Amino acid sequence: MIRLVGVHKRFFPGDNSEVYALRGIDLQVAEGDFVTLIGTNGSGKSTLLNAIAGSFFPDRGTITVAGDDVTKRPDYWRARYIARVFQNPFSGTAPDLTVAENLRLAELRGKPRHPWGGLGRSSRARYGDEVKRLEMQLEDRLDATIGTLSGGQRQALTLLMAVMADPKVLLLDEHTAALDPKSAAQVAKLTVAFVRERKLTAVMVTHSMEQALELGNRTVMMVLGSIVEDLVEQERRRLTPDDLVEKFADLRKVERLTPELREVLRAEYR
Amino acid sequence: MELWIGALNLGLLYAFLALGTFVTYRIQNLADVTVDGSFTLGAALAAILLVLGVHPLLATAAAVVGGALAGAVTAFLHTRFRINALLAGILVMTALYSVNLHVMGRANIPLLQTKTVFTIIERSVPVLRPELRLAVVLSSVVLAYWAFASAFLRTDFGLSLRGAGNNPVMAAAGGVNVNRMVLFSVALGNGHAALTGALVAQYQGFADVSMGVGTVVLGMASVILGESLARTPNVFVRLLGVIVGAIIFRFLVALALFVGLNPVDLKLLTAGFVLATLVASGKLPSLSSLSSRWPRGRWAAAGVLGLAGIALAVWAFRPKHEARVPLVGIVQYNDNPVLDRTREAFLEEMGRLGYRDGVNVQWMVHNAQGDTPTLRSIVDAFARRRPDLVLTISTPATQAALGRLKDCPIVFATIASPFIIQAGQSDTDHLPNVTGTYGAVPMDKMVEVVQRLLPRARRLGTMWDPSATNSAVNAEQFIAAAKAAGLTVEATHVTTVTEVQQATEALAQKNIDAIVLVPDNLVFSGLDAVLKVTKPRKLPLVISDQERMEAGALAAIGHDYALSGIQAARIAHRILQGESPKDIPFEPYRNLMIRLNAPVAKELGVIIAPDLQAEADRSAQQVAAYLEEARRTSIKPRRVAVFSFSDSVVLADSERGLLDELRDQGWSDREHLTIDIKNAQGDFATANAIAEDIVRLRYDFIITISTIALQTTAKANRSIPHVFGTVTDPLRAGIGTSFTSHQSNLTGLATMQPVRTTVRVIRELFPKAKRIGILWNPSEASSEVCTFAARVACKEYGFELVELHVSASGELVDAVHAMLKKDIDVFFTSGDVTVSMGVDTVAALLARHNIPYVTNAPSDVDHGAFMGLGANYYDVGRVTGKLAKRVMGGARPEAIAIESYTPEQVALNLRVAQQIGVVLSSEFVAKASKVVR
Ligand SMILES: Nc1ncnc2c1ncn2[C@@H]1O[C@H](COP(=O)(O)OP(=O)(O)OP(=O)(O)O)[C@@H](O)[C@H]1O
Ligand SMILES: [Mg+2]
Repeated sequence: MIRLVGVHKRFFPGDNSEVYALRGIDLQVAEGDFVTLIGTNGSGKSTLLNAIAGSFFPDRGTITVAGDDVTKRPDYWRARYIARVFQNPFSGTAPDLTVAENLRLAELRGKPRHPWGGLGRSSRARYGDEVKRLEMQLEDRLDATIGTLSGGQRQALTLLMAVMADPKVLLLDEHTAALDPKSAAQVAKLTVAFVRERKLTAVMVTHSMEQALELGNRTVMMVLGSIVEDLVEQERRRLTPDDLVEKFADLRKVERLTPELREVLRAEYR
Repeated sequence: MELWIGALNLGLLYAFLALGTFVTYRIQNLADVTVDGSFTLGAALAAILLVLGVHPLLATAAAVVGGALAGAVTAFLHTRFRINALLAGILVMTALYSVNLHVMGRANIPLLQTKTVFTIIERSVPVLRPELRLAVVLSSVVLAYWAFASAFLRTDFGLSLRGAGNNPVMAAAGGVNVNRMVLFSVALGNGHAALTGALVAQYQGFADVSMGVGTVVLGMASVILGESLARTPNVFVRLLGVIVGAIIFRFLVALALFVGLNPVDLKLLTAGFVLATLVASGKLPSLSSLSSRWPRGRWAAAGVLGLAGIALAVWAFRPKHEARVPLVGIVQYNDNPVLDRTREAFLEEMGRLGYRDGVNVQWMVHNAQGDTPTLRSIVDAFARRRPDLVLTISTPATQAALGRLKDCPIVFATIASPFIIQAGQSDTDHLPNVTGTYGAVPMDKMVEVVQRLLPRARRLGTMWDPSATNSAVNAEQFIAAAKAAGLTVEATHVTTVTEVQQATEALAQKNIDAIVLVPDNLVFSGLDAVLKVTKPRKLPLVISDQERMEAGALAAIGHDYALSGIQAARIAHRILQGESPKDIPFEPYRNLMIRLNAPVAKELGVIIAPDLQAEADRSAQQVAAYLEEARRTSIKPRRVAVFSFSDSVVLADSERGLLDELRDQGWSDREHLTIDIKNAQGDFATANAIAEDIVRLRYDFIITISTIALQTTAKANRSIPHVFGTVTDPLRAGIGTSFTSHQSNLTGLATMQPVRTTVRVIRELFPKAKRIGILWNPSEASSEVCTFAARVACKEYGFELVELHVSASGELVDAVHAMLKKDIDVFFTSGDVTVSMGVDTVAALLARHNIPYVTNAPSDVDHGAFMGLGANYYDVGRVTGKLAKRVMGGARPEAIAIESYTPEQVALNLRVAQQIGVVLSSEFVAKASKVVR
């Protein structure tokens, strides 16, 4: 479903603030795969998702999605295949539009947006049902602007919006990180349910080792713009979150971590 | 009223701009400065196409397309090259300035004689008054457009547009091509701005290359204002708010004008007002460091206080002549024709005395409709509003006023006797705040006329309302007079109008020979009922109201109450001028009228004695003569507006000449002329506002100085006589097709710069010179005219004219350097404002290179020019004044041809001449009116 071959990306090339964010990424994600992506801060996870979604074009390498070479396609073109949920609950919705309007926008993914036709009564009824599933008390608030919703409500809604028009690929970037534990659990639950029901291919960035192992069927670890581990099947099943932290620690040399930072890592990835 | 409807209409035109701004500013969060240029582009395209004969709707549509393209360019620069939107807007706006000039081909295109969308509306909707009609049509169009636009924003496309602006990251991730949406939005915004530009040009009657300045702020102000009215996600309501915002904005401007605020302060007020709205609606970008110490509430309070301070200062320093206009209350008892006639004559005479409602007097006209409690509340209302004077018509009204208004001057009219209501003891000894004009119908005269008409009459019937003091007195006197003449009187009372018919029937039963009616408001209100009884019975009716004789009375003895109104008006005028009512004696009416109804007489078989007829005719002649005299001797103060565009040297000279001419030997005082001087300080919008204000205030004459003053005024006014001066080419300004065929209410002077003479003199002074360099700003209409003239003259005198353009005074030095490279022999500028701003610099540069600098402004020699050969604008002002005097003396502007008048004068700077090595003959120097040595 997703195939990256030799993808490189440098930001500010030649500048002394140059960042070599992706260093030759080769990755194949099969249809129906649910990949969890872990890695230290700044290791390039978000950049990888951005490269797939088309926020920028890679310096080298090719990206294929659903059999189409999309390397030179802009983000809005790729949106017909790819849906995204961002870490920031503010990023995924239009705050001044109403819940119903946002849903309508989401529903139009990959379809023409005509200056006729619009939000009809039947679609509103449908939105009511869909929103009810989120269990976020949104069913009576279809006409409220997004700006008046809580972060958890927004993120759940963003998730619904992402899957609404049946994309092929779902990219999730720490989408539960900014939520309170209860909302985070609910959004995670919904994520699993949606991916399963709609048979989506998903890539999810997370900083929670538990989540990384619990959700999905494959875990990819990134360090310094490269993929260093790709865990599947039994190997993955055998691992505990602590093992994962150990793995990070083993990469100390590569990342030139100081011993103190190891403790920081432990704390962070618990 | 016109002011407000005018404001509404302009607001409706600006609503399109506001809607466009909503799209860029609110939907896309872009402050788009391009609109300053695209507004003008719209005006320019529409104007040039209209002049070429294109259908107005098509021309307007083309303007919209042009504006949209301009917006698309800005959006392209912004999205494609990632240039900051504000900067991209500034770039395109700057470029548009040149584009607009190219489109128009000159700085200003008049549209006075051209068919426009507004003339189409005028012709196709032939109901209502023109402004009102326009308001109705425009409101419907804007409302329809509002519905369409709101619906559009709710379609899938509209939703994507809003989504893209609201959260571009999310929109892109959802498949929206955000760049394309930005492009579309900015094009849409500028298309709307161009639409408003095109419409405003057609509305005001001309397009000018600098008319778009400040459009951005106007649009944003409307949007911000509209949003502060409607805070809701509903686009229908939001767009309506924006439209209302645009209208309210125009109303505020009108209000500022209405309260007499100096137009110069309008811009300041606009800025303050936008700021206040921003602060109040909390949309101010948070100044984190400041806002922690100063919460928003405090900011808002400070803003409001500051504004209040400004308003107070403006109010405190307002010009003295804008003082409160006198408030005059008029109250009459009922709708009796006598009272109506008094009131109308009063108002008419006040008009002749120069009083204009809402301008130098404010009327409060009330009618108690015969109801005494109403009368009291009217007087109470007067007491609250403290009028400068109250006119009371009829005895009850006067009585009510006397009791309540003790300090306010009261002038009464059409009352029988002020003495019986205790307004005084005699004509000169009376209440200090009361005076007026009165007169009873002499009852002995009435009896005498009855006897001469009906010698055989023995019994007379009469009736009156006993509750009316005056009537009772009249009736008493009548009965006494009748008795003295040996007649008996059958009398009856009436207390309501409905009783009149019955009372008349009762009288008729009593075997009477005639009915005689003494002055009584109630009975005369029921006069028709009286006639219904007397006519079939052939009962002669003699009345005391000469106005009503035609209704079927045999004779009437009474006053012409028009005279009463006129006399009252003159007394009122004296009081308003400062005299105390105490010192003005009561004035009895002088002219009693006897009127005889020949047809009725014939019907009744009554023979009118010739001597009685002669007396009646004499009385009528006397009244007619008095009225005629009144009309002739009325003082007619007249108001003239002198309107100049700016304070530039030329215009100031001209204005001085004009005023000197008008005030010469006290002429304006003798003519009772009030001269109001208005100056637009070089600002376009202000010029428009002043022109509209002049029309609203119904000046008797208008004199304009400068082309823009002429153009704005000629458009706004087609009836008030108007004389213009200091205009280079009035035909290019669009007020006519030739000097003899021009807009009918105006005439004036055309003053060309003496370009041809100048070129000739250059030829005489420099026989070997080959090339003349000229620097000019193509956006100045008059500079353009001069350059054309120079091209012709140079050809004639064998020069090559080297032209270079400048568009700002900052470019002058470079331009002169460029010119020096072109091997010129003489440098010339003609009435170009841009160049004249840097005259010293230019002159110094040229002197250093030994190039003679010749201009068309004599004053330039003081600034180092070698020679200034130009019009004497003081003189031009003087001659404009002479022309104005002719028109004010009654000449019709239509019949006066526009005159070409250029009083030439030469000024020389001999110091510069010596420096650059030019030798001048002594005769030539002697001819100069001014020489700098
Ligand atoms: N648009 C960009 N412009 C410049 N530098 C960027 C950009 N996006 C990412 N980077 C840089 O690339 C590197 C990788 O960043 P990235 O956001 O992909 O890390 P991450 O793995 O998602 O980290 P985190 O766990 O903190 O989210 C960082 O050094 C970052 O500063
Ligand atoms: Mg990240």
